[in-house]
Amino acid sequence: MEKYKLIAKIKKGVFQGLCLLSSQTVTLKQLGFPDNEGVPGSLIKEITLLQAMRHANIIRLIDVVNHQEQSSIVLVYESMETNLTSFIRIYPKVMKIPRTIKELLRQILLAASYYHSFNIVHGGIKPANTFIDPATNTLKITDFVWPRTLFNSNTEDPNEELGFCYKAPEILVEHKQFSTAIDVWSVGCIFAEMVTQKPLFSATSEFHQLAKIFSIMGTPSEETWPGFSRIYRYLHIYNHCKPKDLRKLVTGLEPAGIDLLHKLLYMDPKGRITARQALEHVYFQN
Amino acid sequence: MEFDIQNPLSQDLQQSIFAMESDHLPLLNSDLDSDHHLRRQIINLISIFSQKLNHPFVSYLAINYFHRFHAVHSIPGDKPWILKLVAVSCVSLAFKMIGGDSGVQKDDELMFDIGIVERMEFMILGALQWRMRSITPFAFIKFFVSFFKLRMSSFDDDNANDDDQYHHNHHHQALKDRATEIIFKAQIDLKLLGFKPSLIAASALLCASHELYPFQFPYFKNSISSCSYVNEDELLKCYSVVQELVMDGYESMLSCKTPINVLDLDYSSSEDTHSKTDEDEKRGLKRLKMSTFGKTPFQLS
Repeated sequence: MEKYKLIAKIKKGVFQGLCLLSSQTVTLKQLGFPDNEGVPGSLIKEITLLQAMRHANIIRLIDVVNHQEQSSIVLVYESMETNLTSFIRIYPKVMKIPRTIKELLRQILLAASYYHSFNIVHGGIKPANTFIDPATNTLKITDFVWPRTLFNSNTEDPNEELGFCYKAPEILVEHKQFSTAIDVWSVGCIFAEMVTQKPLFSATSEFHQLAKIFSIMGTPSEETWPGFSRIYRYLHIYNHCKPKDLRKLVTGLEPAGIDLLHKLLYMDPKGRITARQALEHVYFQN
Repeated sequence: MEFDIQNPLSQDLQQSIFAMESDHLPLLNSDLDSDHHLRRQIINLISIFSQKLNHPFVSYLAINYFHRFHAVHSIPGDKPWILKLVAVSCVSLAFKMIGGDSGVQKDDELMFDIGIVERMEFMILGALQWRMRSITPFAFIKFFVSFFKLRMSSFDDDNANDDDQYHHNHHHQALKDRATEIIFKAQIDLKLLGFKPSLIAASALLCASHELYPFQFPYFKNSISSCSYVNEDELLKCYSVVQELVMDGYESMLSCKTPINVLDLDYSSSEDTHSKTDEDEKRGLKRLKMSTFGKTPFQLS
């Protein structure tokens, strides 16, 4: 750790720092291990894979440093200042330009498709994890708010922007089941938010989140999502809603964009478009 | 997600592995002659410990970790238990990377508390900056073997027309198998420590072609030497060391000396029982492939 100097705390377990060798600003994320257990192989494999990953649209994990004796490690990432939430707030006019939205969406999809090519599910794509360099409009996503699944730790800050607004319906009903399709859903939510500058599905809790999704995308039926009533036994609690017209909710988006949005927000994960397919969508072809 | 030593980045990112291989080199901090004995002892211990795990690449990876660890931390040679602890921990980490989630299990012979092994593992992870997806010569075999084009003699022409692709694959496989054996053997030779993994892979393939396809050798050598990633002078140096090692293998076999260690036993006695070793090797590789990358996704957050 003598290579890095802490400058400021960003949130619990995450710090801004300075690399003393390169004078580069970095983001440091501390990761604790469960007591009295060795480092599990799955964790070593994951961290070493993230370290080996190189992509223009992913915040790079520069270094991994042991912290003290056995208790924790520090992940050192390249640092970026402005996340998508702040970017929308600071540059609302820039975000109104359709070309900007298209270019940013393309970069998120490139990052997601890169993760998916390694069969990695990001699982936490949201505006707070999506950074933009205002000078170049280069977008990079990160995995700072990492491994709840690995450590059962409550590293997620409750004050942080409500993560569940970007969660796919299959995650909300059955936490165990996940696939790369959940990231595609999150990208769809971000797409709509870039156009309207507010979250498409904003609710106050995970329970209400599902109701909110149903109220816009329609309550799943055997036709729209075969087998859904079996995986979710509480379906009957929800009102039956018909899908709303996205053109009226996400105003100002060109027809090809609306079509892509429909495909990104397809309720049944099996029918949802993949990140790679989305990049070939006609929306990106002009 | 899984780690495949033959394809460490899980994608065909040739440029990246050539660019990154230097990060995975054990920078030699000590005079090789002075700690020759220590390295040999640990390599022997690693071979013994990994034998039980029955996985072809565990010992290779563990020895790679050891050399890289030793480049950062000097290991006191006068304390046998430290050598053993380092060896066990390297094997355990290698097994975690290639095999299952947990490393070595409690074992009567082990003599260490698992907690001590885990602390040593953590120390090695730190020293290696967690770069455990080592780029080894195996990662380059597929790339370099593609430079081998069999120039058919008139004698072979009929066959070539029948099933050209089959023959092509067959020759490539034969070369890869032999080069894999040579690379396993070459790891024991400390003279090769300073060479880049890509050069060792290229040299091993050249040796293999020299044995199996002597008439094609000059062409193969020319095309590998002209590859933009390869420094020709370095390649020639590396090739001569590897070739010497292969020749030594023949001699020691003829004089029936006791092999220096288990790795020798496994791989150098294979010249005359080639087909058997090929089968074993293939089985090992198949097992490795079956367990590799891509079955179950994992989640980041």
